[in-house]
Amino acid sequence: MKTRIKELRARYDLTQEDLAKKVGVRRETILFIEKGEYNPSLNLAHQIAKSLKTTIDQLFLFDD
Amino acid sequence: MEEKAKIWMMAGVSVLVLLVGAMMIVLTDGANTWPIIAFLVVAILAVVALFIVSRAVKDVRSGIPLQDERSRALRARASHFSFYVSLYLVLALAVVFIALEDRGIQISNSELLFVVVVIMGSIHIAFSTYYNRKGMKALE
Repeated sequence: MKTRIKELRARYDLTQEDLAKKVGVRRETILFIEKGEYNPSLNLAHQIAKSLKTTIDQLFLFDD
Repeated sequence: MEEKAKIWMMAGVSVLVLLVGAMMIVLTDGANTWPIIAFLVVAILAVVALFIVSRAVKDVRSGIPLQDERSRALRARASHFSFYVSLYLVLALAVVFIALEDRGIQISNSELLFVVVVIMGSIHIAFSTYYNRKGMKALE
């Protein structure tokens, strides 16, 4: 799974820590989600998408 | 000082202290060194705990939660594995201590308990650190 979190963070000038604070998780969690090494819960995915003004299906890109 | 450098420095000092303790045991043939070793291990654990608490306080003050869904999942997995590994190690230790007793070397209950607690704690810390660094890939 790939994500567009990094790209959208850059667009809104947000650091990993800023985004983490917005959605109420630790910075490392955002880092691992960005790298595709952690699959967030549906609720967290929704919160991240909302913070980056997008939708879950545009934020997370699946291979199939 | 950078956070990573601090952790490495603490780990280095801890290893040095434990090495000195181990050397004392070897040089004195284990005579009356247990209280000193126990004190050194407790002192190291206290310093590490202080460091962890100070980091946690800093995080909370800056609005970062101490735990989130990922850290809870990692902790649950680390606890699960460390429990089973500890069981096997304690069983192995029991066999070692029985063998030592057969050779006339007596180990007190407090020493035994101390060793078991240190081993269990160390295993849990090792698993937590491993999963924390490896991410969720290690969990799949």
